[in-house]
Amino acid sequence: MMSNSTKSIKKLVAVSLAASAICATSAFASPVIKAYQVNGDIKNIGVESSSWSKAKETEILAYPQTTIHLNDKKANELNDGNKAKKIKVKALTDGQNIAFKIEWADKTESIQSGNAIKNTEFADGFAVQFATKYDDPLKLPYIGMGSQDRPVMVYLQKAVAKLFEPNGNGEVTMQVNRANAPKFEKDLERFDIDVAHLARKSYQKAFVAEGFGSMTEIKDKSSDFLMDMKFKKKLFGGSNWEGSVVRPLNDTYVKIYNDPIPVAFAVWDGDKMNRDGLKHLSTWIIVEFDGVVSDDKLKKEFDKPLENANLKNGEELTKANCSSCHNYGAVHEAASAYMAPNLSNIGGYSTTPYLIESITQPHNVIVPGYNANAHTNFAWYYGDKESGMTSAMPAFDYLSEQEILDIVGYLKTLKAEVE
Amino acid sequence: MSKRQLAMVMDLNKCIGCQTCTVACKTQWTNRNGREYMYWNNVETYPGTGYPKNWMELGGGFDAAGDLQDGIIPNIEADYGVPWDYNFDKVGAGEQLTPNVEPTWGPNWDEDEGTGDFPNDNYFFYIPRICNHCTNPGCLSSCPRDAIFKRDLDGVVLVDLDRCQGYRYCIAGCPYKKVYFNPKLSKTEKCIFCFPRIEQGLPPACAQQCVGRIRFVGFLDDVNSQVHQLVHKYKVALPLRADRGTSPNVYYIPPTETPPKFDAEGNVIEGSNRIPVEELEKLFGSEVNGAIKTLKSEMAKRKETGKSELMDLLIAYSHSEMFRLDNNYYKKEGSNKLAPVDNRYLSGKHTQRISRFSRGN
Repeated sequence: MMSNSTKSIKKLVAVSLAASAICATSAFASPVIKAYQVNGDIKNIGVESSSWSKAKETEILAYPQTTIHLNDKKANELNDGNKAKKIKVKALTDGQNIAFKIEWADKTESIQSGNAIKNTEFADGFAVQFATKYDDPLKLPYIGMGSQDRPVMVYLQKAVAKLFEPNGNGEVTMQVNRANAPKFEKDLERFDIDVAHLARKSYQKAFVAEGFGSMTEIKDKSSDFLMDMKFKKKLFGGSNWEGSVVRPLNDTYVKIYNDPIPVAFAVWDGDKMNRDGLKHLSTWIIVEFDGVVSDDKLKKEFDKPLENANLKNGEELTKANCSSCHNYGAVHEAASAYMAPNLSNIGGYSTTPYLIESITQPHNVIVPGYNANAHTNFAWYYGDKESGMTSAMPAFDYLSEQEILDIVGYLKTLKAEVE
Repeated sequence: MSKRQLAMVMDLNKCIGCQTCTVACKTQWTNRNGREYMYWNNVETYPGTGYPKNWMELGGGFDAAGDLQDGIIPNIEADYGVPWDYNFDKVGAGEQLTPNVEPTWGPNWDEDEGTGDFPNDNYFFYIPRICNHCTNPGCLSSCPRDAIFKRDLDGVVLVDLDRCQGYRYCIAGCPYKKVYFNPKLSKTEKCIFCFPRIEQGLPPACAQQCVGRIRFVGFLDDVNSQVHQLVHKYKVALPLRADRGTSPNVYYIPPTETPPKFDAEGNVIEGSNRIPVEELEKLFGSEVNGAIKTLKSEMAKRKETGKSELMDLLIAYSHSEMFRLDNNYYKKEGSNKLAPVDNRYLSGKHTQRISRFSRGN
């Protein structure tokens, strides 16, 4: 059964590859980021570095996360009808490290100040995500925090004021009752020095994740990285955030050689109470090294053009096969909004191979950790990591290859307009 | 579902709103480092806005189908109140007594106001509130970080501060608004049922300090505990807003004893009760009628015969009987050394196994 469906996927890929060969230009073609080689160490690079002038920028799109419903009423109202955001990306490498700089528009600079009476402040922020395994482009991790056996590494920076906590060390145990100040003057002085030392950097963290809620901070210093973000008002109106991240090409978590790699980006708007899943995220974007010619499977098969997909037929097939569980766009035909992942922006942040795999082998793309307790009537999967998991969605592997291509072609059109 | 469930019963007939519990909790846990505005335990006047302001209208909890409901995160300045202090130390030097913040709202802004036409039918009563350590917690269900858990040992609901990223969905998800965001730590904190005390065989500070002896603490499955008897045997203790679907584990004896109303001439209306039963039904459900009936009949029985086990329970003769922590239950579970203040609720000394969430029954 399994081998059959794997075979059918392989056949599918062959079919669509043939299709892509026919159509050189395609409406579905994804942007490719080029990493430019620079001389000299970029280990401590920030957004202001002059080295960035050596890189050409690529424009990518980040779509509002609508797969999962979050329960903050006010925030949901603020983010209702969000459009896609443009993100400009540059990449550099010095042979040892790889650095990304991203730039996106944001009207307001939202900083979480740490003021003890401000409990509804949310910070602007950005994240860069790497797949820890990317040799099989048909089996990349789920775009939002990875999936079972397909971990991701996430670098996250938030516009949080330098504070005792959150800070680089995540230290929450050391606290002093300042009301007792007269009694412990010396102690307090020492405490303040410690605080200043611990709070040496703003909120920038590296995480590994393998599904919702599994994001775990890397605290053992096994991940070497540096992030930076700056808010800039533009001369002729408008304002931008610029963010950068630099990491070694190779570390324990992700190994990068000369071949193309998949990277994803996400941005948060604190003004709209964005945090966690309330964000804009891109699909997996290919990064290739400038001047390196490679006949790479990832680049070739990734997000293949679907020119021979019949979108009209795809829409009908989606309605017939998917809409009884999934909501998407303006269509609300599912039994409940909580029944299954919402597909409204699925075309914006999913790759073609991911969509094909989701339809034909849903059990392979389970994202563990979805808080099933919130909607007990609608389990998205059964079982657990130990005993094995089964998706609540049946495999639609009986559909013909063309039918699947039609559906995927239609699904790729499901996404918000660009801002 | 945890293996066992600790619970608290509060007798609203005896609460005098003295806030000793509030102070006991505040001085123990929330007087510093971004927790200044938090009252893990508060006593509010009902009818009233409550703390935070209008918490009952801020969503959260589950609907009848078991789906988590969207909620609103209250704001410190508008809904909780910014804590203020006075310049006591400077008053001796001739300065005017002034607050350091212009007080515009606080947790007890409308204390004792109540409702009705004074003096004929006005009324109010107090509701002390702590985290309900729900069997099906709204906070746990809304956490996207898997940072909130329920201890298997006793059902106490705790936040794993290491996992917490300060997203605040838990506050929206809690129908009681008893989870608080600490802006200084950017993490969520809440009532911990004083588990470091509980593990030593001591009741929570709020219960220990209660001058009216209104609080009973024990395991729901311990048939010898007064909590069990009040909740399950006599069924006079009822959960607050159980309609929000979280199966709360703090139970209340509804207020039955009020002065009678006066008529237009100022004469006593015999047999009248100032607290409308509809209001109690709103808080405690229709079961409140049965509870009131039992309480009234047991009171009458006590008057006539001098004997009533229920009335004896509610008189609360001794702490040792009110607080039944199944002595040595925790000690059997492992070594038991008290850690320094503030470290101890980072991870429970006896938090070996935790239930992240259960799929209902």
